[in-house]
Amino acid sequence: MNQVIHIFRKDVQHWWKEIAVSLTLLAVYVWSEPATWVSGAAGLSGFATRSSIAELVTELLPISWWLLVLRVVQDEALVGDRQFWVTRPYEWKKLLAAKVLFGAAFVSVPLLLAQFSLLQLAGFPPTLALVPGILWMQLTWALILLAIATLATVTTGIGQMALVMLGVGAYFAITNPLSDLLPRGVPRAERIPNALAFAVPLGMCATIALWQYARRQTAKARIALVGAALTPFLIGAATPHHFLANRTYPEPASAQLAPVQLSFVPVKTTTPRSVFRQWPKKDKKTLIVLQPELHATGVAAHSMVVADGNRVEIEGPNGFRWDSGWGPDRMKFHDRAYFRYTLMLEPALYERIKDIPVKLRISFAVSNLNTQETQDVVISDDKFTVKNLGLCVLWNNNSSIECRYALERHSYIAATAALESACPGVERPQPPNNGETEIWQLAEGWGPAEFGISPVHTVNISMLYGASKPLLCPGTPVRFTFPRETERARVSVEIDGIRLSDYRQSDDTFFPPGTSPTVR
Amino acid sequence: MNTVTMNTLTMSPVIRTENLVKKFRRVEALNGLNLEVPPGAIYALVGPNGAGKTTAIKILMNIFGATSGHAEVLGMDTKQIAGKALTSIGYVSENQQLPDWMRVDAFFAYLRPFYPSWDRDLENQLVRQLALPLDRKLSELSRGMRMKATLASSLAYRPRLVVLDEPFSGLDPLVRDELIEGMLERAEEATIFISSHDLAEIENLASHVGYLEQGRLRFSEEMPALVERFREVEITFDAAPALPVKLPASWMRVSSSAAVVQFVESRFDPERTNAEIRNVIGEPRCVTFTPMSLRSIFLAMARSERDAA
Repeated sequence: MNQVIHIFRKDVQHWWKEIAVSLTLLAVYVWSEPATWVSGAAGLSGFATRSSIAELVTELLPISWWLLVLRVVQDEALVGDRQFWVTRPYEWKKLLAAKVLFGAAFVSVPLLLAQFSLLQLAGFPPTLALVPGILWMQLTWALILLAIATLATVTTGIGQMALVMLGVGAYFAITNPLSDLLPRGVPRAERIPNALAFAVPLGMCATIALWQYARRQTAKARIALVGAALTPFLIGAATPHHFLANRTYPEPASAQLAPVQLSFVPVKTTTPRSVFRQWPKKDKKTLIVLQPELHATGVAAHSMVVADGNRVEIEGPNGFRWDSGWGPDRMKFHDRAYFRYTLMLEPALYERIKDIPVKLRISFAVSNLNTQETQDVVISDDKFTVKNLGLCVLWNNNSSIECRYALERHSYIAATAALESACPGVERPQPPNNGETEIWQLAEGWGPAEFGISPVHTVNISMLYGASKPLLCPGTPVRFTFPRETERARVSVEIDGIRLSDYRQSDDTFFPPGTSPTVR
Repeated sequence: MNTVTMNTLTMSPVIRTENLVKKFRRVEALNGLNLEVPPGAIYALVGPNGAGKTTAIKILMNIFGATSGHAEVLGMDTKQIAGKALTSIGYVSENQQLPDWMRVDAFFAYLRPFYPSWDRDLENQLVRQLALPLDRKLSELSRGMRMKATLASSLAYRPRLVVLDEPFSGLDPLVRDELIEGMLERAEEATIFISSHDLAEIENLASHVGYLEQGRLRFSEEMPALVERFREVEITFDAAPALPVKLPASWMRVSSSAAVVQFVESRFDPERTNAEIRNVIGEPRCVTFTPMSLRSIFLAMARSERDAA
């Protein structure tokens, strides 16, 4: 009999209880998950209970896979010198193949079936168009399980593995704050290094697992694993953030050709004028917030200009120079609108330059998106379909619509106006201020599917007028726009002779970054 | 030509090591081990705790790699011993981790397909001979039963070489006898390489013996030759003799009390030893040569090495 099948059968015989638990959890997941899609839950009995069960099972299911992988890999433990199997005619490639077959049979294939079932239940019948996304999700889980399997190849049992997992938790707890110390760059310019930060350690995991099966050199494998864990840091530290940002977001030949033109408005800050929020306690103690006012113009019709990143440079007398470096941002520029840019400085730096006239340069890495593709929808009591957003339903006391979609969410802008709202009790502002409300989200995903167990996701689009008046009622028209990126560019504003102390916000409140603009 | 080649092959050692060294960080477990085990031998590797016996076996089985040197088993570099190569080698160790969740019959059934030469009749015979309870889980077996199950599973495919690492330690005499009996019945068709502290059992079993100490092989020879060359010598003189400072290298653990001198002769030959006594000490009144058990030889060697150290 083929050795692969023979070992596989033995593993099934040994771990049938764990397999049964995992498959049962998956079945419960398929049964309960639809209750988390509000739009699909109508008529489901025990909606709240099922929804809670789904949340619980979402946590338990990966644990059951983790256990399955751990058990099956360690059934022929690779660590140690007393295992009976190392002196039996096992062929390591066949042993490894048997373990991969086990993972495929009891994790990948059941997950695949569950995903197609969920798509069917959600109203997305399986089509070829869904295949790349589903395969992407399968690959994602396979890579996660590969990392777990690799840890299992260098540990001896569930206790040691649990300790390692605690160590992994501690690693993330320590490295998360440390990663804040590294320069960050503009995420959309750094897809390759970001992908490498995942791919390299996972590739190393695959190599280490192969090495362990072929040679069983645990000490070396453990050292290599520590190295693999450090590679994201090394990649992060070695990433040429400035080069990538400058290359991905080129400076236009002239300011007029930029998707947006920015100018400084020399208005000294006294108190916040409209929107403000409480100062985050952590930043209050450590950072000084400055909010110079800028004016945006030149955003073309049928365009949406969004900042993906920003950078601040300050130059002062005696060769003083400070550079924040590129960092992530998410702000939409409105045409002919004023907005406050939020700049946070260390107190020591601020004290050094606060009263000295300095040159301030604020740069944005922007994406220009075409917004000609639209769909007008009139909200109804029943389900309605929105292109790219899937099946939608009015929800939550008319304050939001929830759309469920397959695999990945596309970029969208949802806009309506209080003037046209069908909801009772909404005041009707007069033109030109129609009480317009706009919600937008850009697609952030990496691949053809979002991460998760389920291929069905939901997006909640909440639209209120004022503080709490719902705008979305049956009969309310909503315009959905689906922006498509056409251009990336770098835009800057240079302010000469600015005194930073004139733009410091009070200690208690400040405008949130990227706030809605004030129109004059 | 074919006959010559066959003869050459059959006569080449089943196990051969050259200057084998194994270091665990700063500890040198094997220190230039040179060993040859002829085909058909029952070779016993003996030595005190920590001598390097288990390390040597694990290198032979490719469980460990050597730090330097070379080792061959069945004509194959031990680094290549894996997969199909193990269909010709049986391995039994005192502390092997078995799939405890399996019943004994399932354990045999699981192993069968790995070995093209697995003999069901032999398996049944071994099960009967060793009185193995097929319906019990391996985890429920006593230490002796586990050893017997391992042995049966390592003999049922008629391996060319059986390697046993301390198979008798901690076993009661009955189980020991059963194991030895099981092994001896296979001895005609296999070479057996065994490490053990149980020198009394080894003496009845082994055709060859090697003595390993501090990672070095002190001697390696056929059992009859070994027993033949060791004697306890007791010499009685008329008066207390004066022992010279320099004594023959083959005399071990020399002691004297009044007119009696005792030592262990490690190169015994009646004529030569008698002549040497006369030359070194003088004319004795009476000399007795007592044959030694393997255990006595082992102890004499160990104590002599310790005294020298």
